[in-house]
Amino acid sequence: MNIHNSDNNINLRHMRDNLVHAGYGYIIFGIWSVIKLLMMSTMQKEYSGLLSDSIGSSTGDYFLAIAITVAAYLIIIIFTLGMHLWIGYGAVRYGRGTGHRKYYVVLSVIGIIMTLVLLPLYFWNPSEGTPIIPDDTTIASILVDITLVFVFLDMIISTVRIDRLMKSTDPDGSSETRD
Amino acid sequence: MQEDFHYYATYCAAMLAGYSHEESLDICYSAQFVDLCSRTVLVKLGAPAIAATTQLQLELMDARTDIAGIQDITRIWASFHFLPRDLYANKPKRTKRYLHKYRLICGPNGDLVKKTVELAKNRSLQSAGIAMHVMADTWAHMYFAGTPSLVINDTSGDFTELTGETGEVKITFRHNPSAPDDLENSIYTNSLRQRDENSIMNLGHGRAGHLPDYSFIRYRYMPAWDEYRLTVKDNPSDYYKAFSQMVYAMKYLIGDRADFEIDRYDQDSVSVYEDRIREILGRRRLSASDDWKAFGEELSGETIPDFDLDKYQDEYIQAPSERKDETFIGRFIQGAIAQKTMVSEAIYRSGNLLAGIVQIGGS
Repeated sequence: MNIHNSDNNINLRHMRDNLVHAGYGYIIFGIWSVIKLLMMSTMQKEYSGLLSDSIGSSTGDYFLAIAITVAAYLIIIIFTLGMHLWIGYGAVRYGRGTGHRKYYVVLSVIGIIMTLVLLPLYFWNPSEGTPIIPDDTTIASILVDITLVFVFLDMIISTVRIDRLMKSTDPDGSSETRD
Repeated sequence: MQEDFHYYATYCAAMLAGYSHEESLDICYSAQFVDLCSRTVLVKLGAPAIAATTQLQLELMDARTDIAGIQDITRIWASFHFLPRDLYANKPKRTKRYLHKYRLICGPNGDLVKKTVELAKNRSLQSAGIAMHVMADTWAHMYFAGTPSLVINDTSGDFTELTGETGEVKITFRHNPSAPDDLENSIYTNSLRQRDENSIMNLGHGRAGHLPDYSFIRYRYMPAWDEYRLTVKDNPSDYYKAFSQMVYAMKYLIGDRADFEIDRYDQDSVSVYEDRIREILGRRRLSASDDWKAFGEELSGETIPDFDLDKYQDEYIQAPSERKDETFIGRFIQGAIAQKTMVSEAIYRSGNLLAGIVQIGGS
């Protein structure tokens, strides 16, 4: 007894696996974004200094500022993680065949556009109109953003290919036939 | 494979090949002992640890996975339980590191099976038993490699049992090694998924649990090495071939045939009992020992004792140093070292260092 592993079915499994990995990859990016935010705000002098300078001299001001800062960070963290989980799991579920909604494709397109539009800000200060010479940390960030674009592209391309392959295969993508 | 096949079915095969009851017992004891001859047992006996043919769960938990540790693991598991089918197999666009692992994938009817059987020719009954274990496992363990490897031995989570002509049942895995497999609800134990390439969890068929060891099961899954292709493992059919090939091989060992050729199966002796054997293989249960034992006792008219790990240990311990090689376990150890050396050397000669640097005799 043999299985007929048609090219369509093999490619479909491959694309589904790709999409699942891309989805998880995007979730990991979300976790990294949160870690990066916390590291920048606590360990990078410019940001922590900006925060302490903005706090007034009274004790009440100090605690209020801390409370607002923590609340703001929590909101940003929850939003960032939630966004990545929503998009990432959407892709994972579609890849596994347990979900049918493709909202993450639209969000991926928006993600690519936003990342590409904001990318020049690494090199250009629009408020002063002067160029920025990127340091090694900035170069690392640029590479991370470019990788993120590839993850988005992988999600979109895999989804499109899954849909095409599904049309030419069984509805559930499991048209293996035994000879 | 388990005791039911390595001990009782091997006894039946030896009887059909023409061995006497006592000889068949020695062969099947040795075949089963391959699954139990660990370093722990050898150290207890004061025997050379190099002769180990298996590693216990506890030993594996302590096993290192640096290069020396992997070579040690590979020497044992590739030599006795996952005999590589083709040490020169190729796959386009793959690195040498990948190919070294890919080439260790186990399968029947490879050159090393022939060498294994030929190595046992004119040696002890213990060597014959070792060869029968190795040969039988090439059928049960095909598609898995006897070295830790995520890219080879990992599987997709989706296993489906094929029942009857068209029936399919989804298989569920859990990771509780103390819980017996639940055949009724298709719940089986497998190893944890570890993304470390060389994790012990990725050794052999750990990711598929004991499915390869049950003669009754037919299942479909996706091995990591086969580029998203689904594989069907038809154990009842494979085990029948394993049995027929064992009889064929033992007829060669006993001297009934001049040559041993791969992909040849005994028809003369086995076909008479085909229905009986297929019925034993196909029955759904954790162990088929009782049925094989009954079949073996019908063949010989003698009682087959249960396997007793301690049976030959006193003989070995009490023998003086110069006579240890003449004991049952002494002859087993010689056969095991010969087999391990032959396989490890073949792997090394293929340019693959996963079993270490082994060169005997040169050429």
